[in-house]
Formats: sequence, C-alpha cells, structure tokens
Amino acid sequence: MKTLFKSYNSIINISFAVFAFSFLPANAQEVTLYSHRHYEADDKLYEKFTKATGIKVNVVKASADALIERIKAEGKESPADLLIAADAGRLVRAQDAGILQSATSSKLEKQVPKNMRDEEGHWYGFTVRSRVLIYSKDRIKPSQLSTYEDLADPKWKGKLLARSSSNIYNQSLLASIIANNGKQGAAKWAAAVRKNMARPPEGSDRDQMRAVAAGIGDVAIANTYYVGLLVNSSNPKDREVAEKVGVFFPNQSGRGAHVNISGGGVVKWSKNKANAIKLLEFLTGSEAQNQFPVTTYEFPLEVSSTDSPLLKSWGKFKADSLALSELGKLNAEAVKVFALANWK
Amino acid sequence: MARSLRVQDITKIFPRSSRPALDEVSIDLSNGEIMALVGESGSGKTTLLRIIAGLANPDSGVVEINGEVVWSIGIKTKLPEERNIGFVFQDYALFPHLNVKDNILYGLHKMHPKSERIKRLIEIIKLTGLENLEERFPHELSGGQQQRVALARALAPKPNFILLDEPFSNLDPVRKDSLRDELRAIVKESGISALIVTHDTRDALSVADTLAVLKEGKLEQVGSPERIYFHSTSEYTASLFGKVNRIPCQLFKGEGAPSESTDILVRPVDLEITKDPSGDVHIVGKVISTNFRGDFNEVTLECREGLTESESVTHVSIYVGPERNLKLGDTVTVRRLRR
Amino acid sequence: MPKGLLNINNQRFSSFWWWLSAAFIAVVLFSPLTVVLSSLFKAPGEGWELITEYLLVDYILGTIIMTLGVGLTALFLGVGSAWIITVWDFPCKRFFSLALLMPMAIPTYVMAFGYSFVKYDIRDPLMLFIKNNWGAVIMSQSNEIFNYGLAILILSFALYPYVYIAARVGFSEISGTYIENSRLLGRGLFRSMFSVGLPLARPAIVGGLLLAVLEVMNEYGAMTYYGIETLTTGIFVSWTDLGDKDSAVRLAAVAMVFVLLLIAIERLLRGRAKFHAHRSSSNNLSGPTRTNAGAVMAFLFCFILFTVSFALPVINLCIDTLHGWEKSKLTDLIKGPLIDSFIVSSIGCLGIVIAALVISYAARLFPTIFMKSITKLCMLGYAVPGAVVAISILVYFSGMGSFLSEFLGFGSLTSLFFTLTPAGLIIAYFVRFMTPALAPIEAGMIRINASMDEASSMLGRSSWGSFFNVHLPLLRFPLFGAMIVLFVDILKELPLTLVLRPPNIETLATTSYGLIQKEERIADGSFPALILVLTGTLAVLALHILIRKRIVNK
Repeated sequence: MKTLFKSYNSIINISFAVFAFSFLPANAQEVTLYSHRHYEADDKLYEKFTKATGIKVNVVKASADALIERIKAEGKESPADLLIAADAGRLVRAQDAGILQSATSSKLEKQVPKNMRDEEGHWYGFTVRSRVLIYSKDRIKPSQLSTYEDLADPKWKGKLLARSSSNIYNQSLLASIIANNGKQGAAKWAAAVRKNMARPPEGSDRDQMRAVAAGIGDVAIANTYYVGLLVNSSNPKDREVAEKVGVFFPNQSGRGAHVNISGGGVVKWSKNKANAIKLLEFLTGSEAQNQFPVTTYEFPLEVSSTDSPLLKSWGKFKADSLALSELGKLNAEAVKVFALANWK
Repeated sequence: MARSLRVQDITKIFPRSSRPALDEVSIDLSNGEIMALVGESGSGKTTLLRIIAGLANPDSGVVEINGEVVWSIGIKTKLPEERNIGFVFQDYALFPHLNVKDNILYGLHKMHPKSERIKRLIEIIKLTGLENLEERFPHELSGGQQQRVALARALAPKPNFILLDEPFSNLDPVRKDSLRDELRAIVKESGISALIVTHDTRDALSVADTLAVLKEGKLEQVGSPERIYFHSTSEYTASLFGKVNRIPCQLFKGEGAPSESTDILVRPVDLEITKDPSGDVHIVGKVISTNFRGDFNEVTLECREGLTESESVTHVSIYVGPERNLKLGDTVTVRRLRR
Repeated sequence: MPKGLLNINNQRFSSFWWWLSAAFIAVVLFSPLTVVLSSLFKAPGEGWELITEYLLVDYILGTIIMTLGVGLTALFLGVGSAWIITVWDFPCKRFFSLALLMPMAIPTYVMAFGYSFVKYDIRDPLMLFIKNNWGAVIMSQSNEIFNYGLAILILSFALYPYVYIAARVGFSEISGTYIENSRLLGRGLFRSMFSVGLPLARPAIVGGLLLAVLEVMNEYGAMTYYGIETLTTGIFVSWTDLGDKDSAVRLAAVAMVFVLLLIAIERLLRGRAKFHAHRSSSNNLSGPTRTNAGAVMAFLFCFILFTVSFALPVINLCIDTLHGWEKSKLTDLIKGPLIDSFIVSSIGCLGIVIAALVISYAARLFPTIFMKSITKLCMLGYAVPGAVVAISILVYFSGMGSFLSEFLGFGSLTSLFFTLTPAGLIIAYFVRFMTPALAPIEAGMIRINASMDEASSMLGRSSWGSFFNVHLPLLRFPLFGAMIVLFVDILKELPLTLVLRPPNIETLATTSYGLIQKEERIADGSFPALILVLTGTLAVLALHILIRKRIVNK
C-alpha cells in the first residue's frame, strides 16, 4: 500500500513539475528577479548582462510588498533569486521578514559604499535618488530655501506640496528626520509641514511638481529622477513644467540631502545564488552605473561621478551619510508619526 | 381483465396538516380503460396522480404497474423516468425550444433505429390530428392544439398508461365540448389506458368509463358515470355532480300512519309536473323563482304542506321545458319519475 | 422553486453527482475567504490600533461618501437614460440605446486616466482662482470637494451602465397595459412611469445598483488617483505601504461586513416583490407624447451622457496613444499581453460558467436550505476586493501545500503549481467572478417551470438527460450573456492580477496600469488601454445583440 502511495506520489509530483515548469523557460543558466522596478531601460541592461554572461534573466514585476508577500508564501519553493526594491526601507522590511540571505563578494563591497548596503550583505543599493525641494522659479528664490526643518516655519503656510504619507519615499525621509531630530522633533515637524500644505496630500511626486508650476503651491517635496522624467517627457506640457521649476538640495550646510537607493538582495531560498551575485555585481559595476543617469535619471552610487548634463545641472550636493538600514528600522516609527500629524 | 395500474392502500400525510392527504386509497385501472378521479380541491386527487407518476412518494401502500410493484416500503423504488408512464400536465409543459415534432420525439430517444422513431412519430401525428403543424413551436399554437401535442408526446413512447392533470381547465369553454370528445376518441383509439384528474364533473361524466370520487383523502365511490350520477352513495357525491334536492319524507308502509321520517335525494331531472296523483312521491309547491338556463328553466318551488306536519319549508328545484309558462306564485304538483 | 423535485427519490448517483460537485465548488470558492473573515477572530496586531485611532473613521467615511455618491448618481443616470430610451421617441434613439452601454467597456482606472486633463487643465486653474480670491484654506477645502465630486462623477460614468441595463430589462418585462391603465386614469406619461413603471422595475434596478456599488467598493486605481481614502485603499496602504498584512486583512474583513450590509439593504429595497409582472404582447411602454421639446431634451441628455462617459475619454486615449505612435515597438509591447489576456480570460470565462451551471442545477435538484446557502456563499467573492482575494489564495494554497507535504507525503509541489502556473490566478478569478455568472444563470434557471423537469422525467430522461436536453438549451441567453460579461470583467481586472500573475504573464490591464500609473508613460500605456476598450466595446455590442434577441423572442 505504501509503495503504491509512493509511486503515486512521484507520478503526481512529476506531472505537476512537468506542467508547472512547462510554464517556465527551460534553461540551464538563469536567474529570476522579483523586481519592483519597471523601467524598460532595466530590461536592456539585463539583456546586456545575458549577452555578457550567458545567464538568462527572468523578471517578475510587481510592487515590492506584493513580491515580499509572494516570496514569503512560496517559501522554499520560490523560484526567486533576487528581490529588487526601490527603497531601502522595503529592503530592510524584506530582511526582517526573513526572506533575504547574506551574500558577499569583494566586488560588491568595493563597488557599493558602506552606508548604501546592509552590513551583513543582505542587500545592496545600485542607484541613488535624493528627495529634494522643487520650487517655483517665478515666485521663490533659492536663497529662501535652506533645510527640511525650515519647512515647518509658519512663513510657508499654504505654500507646500507633498504626496501621501503612505508612500515609502516620504516615510524614509521622515525616518531620516527621526534619526536626526528624535521622535518628538520629527512629530512637530510633520504636523507643522502638514499645516503648511496648500492642499491635502494627493497624487504622485510629479503631480506635486505640476501643482508648483500651476501656482497651487510654491515648494514641493519630490525625488530627483522625476525631474529627469519631466524634462525628457514626450508630453510638451510636462516639459513646460520642468522649465518652470528648480531643484534645491536641502541641508547642504548640515548633514546633507536625504538620499535613498534602489537595491537588491539575494533571496533566502535562491537556487542560483552565484548568478544572483553576478547580476548584482553587474548592476553596481561601471557599465550599468554609467547607464542609469542617462536612462532613468538616477544617481550612480558615487553621486558626484556622473557626466550626465541634466544631473550636473542640479549642481553638486552633499548627501546624508546616514546608514540606509536606519531608514528601514525607523519605518514603523515614521508611519506612526505621520498618522499623529494627520498627514494622510 | 388485465390491469395497467393497481394502487393499494395509499396513505400520504403531509407534515403540519391535521388529516392525511390520502387515506388508504385503492383503485384499479384496467387495460384500455379511461378513469376519472374527481373531487374538490384538497381532496387529494392530484397528490395521488403524482404518487402514481413517481413525482411524489406515499407514506405507505403499494403502487403496481402492469403487475410490477414500483413502490412499496422496503423495495428499491422506480424513478419516474423508469416507470414508462405518460403525463399530460395542466400547463402542458411543452418544451418551448423544440417544435411539435421534436417535442413528440423527445420521449422516443430509447427507440432504435431512427426509422422506427419516425414511423411512430407519423403514427401519433395522424392519431392526434397534428398534420401540418409539425414544424411549429408551442407558442405558435392554440390552446387546443397545445393540448393535443402534449397528448401526442405522452402517448408516443407507448407507455403503460397515461396520466392527465386537469386537461380541461385551460381550454376555451366554447370549444370545450368538442375538445373533450376528441380527447376521448384519441385515447380510445390509441388503446392506452388513462387516468384523468379533474374537478369538473361534467367533463368527467362525458369522458370517462369509470369515475372515482375522492373526498378529503378518502375514496367515496367508484363506478360508471350513470351509477355515480343516479345512484350516488352519499349526498356529497350526488351534489358534486349536479343539483340534487334533499326532500324530507315520510314512509308509508301500506295504509295507516307513516312509519318513519327520512330524507331522500332526488335530482331535478327526476321530477315532473303532473296532475296524476299516483306514484310514490308527491310534492306540492309554489313557484318562487325561475331561472333561464338556455335549454330549460330551473324553477324553484317552495313547499309547505303535503309532506310532513312540521312547519319546515323545503325548496325543491325542477327543470321545466321552455314551453311551460310558469309564473311566480303558481302552485304546482310534482312527482318523481320511476327509473 | 420547483416543489416536486424534493419528492423524487434522488438516491441515484447521477443526481447526487450534481450535489457533490456543487458542494465541492462552493468549498473551493469559499474557503480562501475564510482567511479574511477569520482574521476578525484573531487578536489584532499593534498596527491595528494606529489604524482604528487615526484612519479607520476616514476610511469608512470615504467609503460611505463614495458609495452613496456614485450610487445616487449612477441611479439617476442609469434609470433616467433607460426610461428615456424606453418611453420617448427621438432622433438617433436606436443608436443611443446601444451607445449608452458602451462605458462598460472602459475600466474605471482607464476612465480616470482619460480624464486626467481635468485635474491639470480645469481644476488647478480653478483652485488658483479660488486661492487668489479666498485664500489658501478655502482652496484646500475646495480641492478636496472637487476631488470627491470628480471621482464620483467619473466612477458614475463608468458604472451607470449596470443600472441602465438592469432598468431596461426591468422596464421591458413590464406589460404596457399597466402604463396605459395609469394614463387612462389621468396620470401623464411622466407620472405613470414614476408611480407605476419604476416600482414594478424596482427589483431589477436595485440589483443593478448593487453591482455598481460593489464595484465602487472594489475600486483602487481611481480612488488613489484623486487622493480619496476608502476601506479598499486603506487595505492597500496597510498591506503595501505600512507592511502590516494583518491589519490589511482586518480592514478587508470590515469591508466585507460593509458589503454584507449593502446586500442586506438591497434585499430590503427589493421588497417582497415575488410577483411576476404580467407579461403581455404589448411591451411597448411608450405611447403618444405631446411635445417636441421633450424629444429635444431626451436627445440632449443621451448625447451629453454618451459624450462624457465614452466619447471623451476614448478620444483622449487615442490622442495620448498617438503622441507616442512613432515607436513601432508598441506592437511588441502588446503582442504578449494580448495573447495572455485572451487565453486567461477564455479559460476563466468557460470554467466559471460551467461551475455556475453545476451549482444552479444542483440547487434545483436539491432545493434545500443548505444548497441555497451554498449558492449565496459562492456569490460573496464578488464583494471582496480583488487584492484580498489574491492574498487569500496565496496563503491558502501555500498552507495547503505544506499541510499535504507534512501529513500525506505528497504535494510538495502543490503551492508551486498554483503560483507558477495560471492555476492560482484562475481559481482566484473563480472566487471573485462567480457572481456575474451565477446570478443570471440562476435567474434563468428559476424561470424554467418545474413541470419541465417533471415532463422530461416522465419522458424517460435522467437528471443528466434533462439538463442537456431541456435546461441547457433554455439557458442559452443567460449563458452567453454571462460569458460575455465574464470575459470582459476578467480582461479588465487589475488588482488581483497584479498580485497573482505567474512569471512572464502580463495582461493588457496590468501592462496599461504599470505603464501609466507607475511609470507615467502615458503614451505607451494608452495603447493597451485602448485595446481593452476596443475588446470591451465588441463584447458590449455582442451583449446588446443578445438582449435584443431575447426581448424579441419574448
């Protein structure tokens, strides 16, 4: 009876496997990405990687949290090798959920600055973005801007614009403020900034910039690469918006502007760990790093090393050297603070 | 005589009801016989029909079809689709998506080869007079035509017998008489026995060979139409089939004082106006109303004397030909006709 | 419900098979949802406190405002237009009769994108004007009101067809003699429709309204676009942005309770309307009308409605697509998702319809309370937001896989089977979309007289034979209608598909959403959106032809 069961068992398993894997490309060398990023430019990079190494890249695109859920649910059956997220906070979340593993290589340690990777190698950043102040060139002079903290000043009443607190970029910004000013200070800041807003938070970063151009508000908080996207948009209206606004890096005389990363970590149950590491090395290597400013308007890991005219036009800036793992650690705190501040 | 159907001591009790819907009812249907189950609503006749069909199950009793027991406690019962019984539903239940031809063919799916089916189809169409209507759909037919299709469909598979549930209730009253006769003719010619449930006693009398009267779940009387009509065993049965006079009488045995008082049931048609004082029943009454009934007048008499010495008043109905001119207030003597 | 069938001795396996299959389907459909409901019985995580204190009230308020707002607006638009078409004679009436169905082809999020220009070209200048004259505070509030109003309008444009169809079906079933009677009694056409026509069509209308309102509850993309917070957006926020899966599931359970409430209200509003309106040959409800002014107004109403709810957004999409049309790679972009979309939709649509047939026939054969409850249970999935269904499926099947592995020794690949192949996705579609199939099929099934089953039985067919020879042919119309609706629904579906799609499978919906909302590649994203609209339009046309046929056949 038991042998019957066992052979039955193996028949089921085999047929399941055949069926299941018929949906997967059958290839010896491959690596499977679960990626939050959806740039076409990335696909081009992966193609380059495949050409160079012969390793095929499979990509599953979804929001980072869906991907984390999925990996968690799939467990050791998961085909994912690498998780790519667009924010350090999420990478820390994934790490805390226990779905990443430590992966080290000398190349990675050399190519990625210490504060932009997990100290045990659970994840590595490969692009950088800064959360900056976008201001109306008509109505605001750069000399009026200084720090994030200054935004809490009543003089900005009815002039600020920002997106919802549910967005991880804002949460990470607030996390860096908590790290710097403590929970109380951050709470006061968030509440004051919210009161200063021209309208309740809505829309994306680009929507805030459009609103600045339209005159709804004067200063918006947004990520740098969105400016690039507006400048190079096929929509003339967007390009107009880009003309009307300027980029300001806050806290230059202090700790520096808040930065964040897009990064990836090797999945705990990866069956192609070596390939995953190779891909990470590729993404943090010079070829890919030179591509990012041009294709996705993101900063390379060495923020000042880019040749891109657009990025250069924003000027050199000092980046906050806070360890990005802190952003993840303080994320839960940040969420609470936002809720208390009524910043929806 | 061979029996198509035998039903024995069928009892059915519905939950939450004070009396059984059917109480030990037994009837036999012989080959070639048309039987009508008559009764008021609630008498159990439709329930009995459905039990026979297998669409419902009794609580006790035996249902036997062509000698084979299809329902009884403890045996594996036969489902309706296995009993080979034809059923003509009250609403005909013709399949709206099939034309006449396909409706009739529906029950012939077990007949092989196909040529046999077609042969039977033609036979049945001829029998029921549905030529030229084969391609039509049910909604394109008149009520009478639909009934014939329903009949044809039920008869086509050569069932053990057919059941008809109130076949006359949906028919146009003007054509009802001829449709009734047609139905009987068709069934008789097919040679298949039929059990008809109806509340219309006139229909039952003209269509059936045998009548079974149900009252509140119990079988009241079974017999030929004439027997039921003229020799009802109870006033209930008698009044079901037509107007009946209940007349208090006194029996005279020979000369002398009356021996006992009793009521007798006399149908209006059994009473005639007379001047002849002979005969066993005499009634004298005053005309209090006349109703025109087309072929005759129904005259109501009020009788106060000549019957008993009590002061009670009896109303007696008689049928009177149109040539008689009876006016209100006339006094009339009536006697019972001998049969 | 057929009474007689209860009495048939259904011991035979062939009949029992129906019952078994129906019960099995119901279990598969309902058990993942228990994951959601069971969360209410577990202790909440600490994140929940945060939500209840600061956010829950806003979510509930937002949900109420949106459901009420869209409900009333869609009711007005849907019933109004259905009534005008049914009763009035005006130029292009036949065209509008069909055209007003068209917005159903447009997914709600695409509708929002189609109106993106309103935000920038109308609202912002308006807000600027308000700010300059009445200050920033007033502007802030006006902004919020404007957003709500715009969202309500746009969702109403997308969803009123549900009410429109229901109202038209409802009106078409009413005999003209009722209205004629009412008019003879002195009430004009208008008042007749109001006091006689509407109440008689009420059950149908309320049913359509419920569908529309449920869609509002499910909506995510359009809500976030306008910064409106509802229970559903809260679920995503909690799950995605706050990483608090437990609270997300709790919010989902709250949403489900809300939905149950809506369903209960619908039952109440439907009333004890078990009557079957007298169906006569005179179904023409219009009679002579007096004024031409009425005809002009009718025309204008329909024209404007059609323009804003269909023509405008579609034209906008076309314009956006043309912006980026130089790139021929668009066809490469589309080919994969197109094929995948169609395959998945077809499989889902067929499978669900078959399951619905099984369930409704089983419920007919065994009209017990158990069966009726099962039927209702299967409909619950429609109320659950797509993403929650997705989570439930993921967790449920992974749990099942490990259970089977541990205790029975096989099935280690089970969860893999469900997540790597479209199987999990399709099952999720079953859970979510059973209602659009089951409702019309069940309604059609009930319409079949019990004597049909009995006649078929007497003529020698088993329950199988009856099903294939009687019920199935008679269910043609609801069947095809359901398949069309299902196909389009699955095609349009977004949140669930976003989560559960297997590797290398993208649908038109996910492609369009990803390109427009995430990457703001409006030109690229508009093309798959346009294809969605096109397929939807074809489906709606097919549906229309079907309905016409049905009305004519009666």
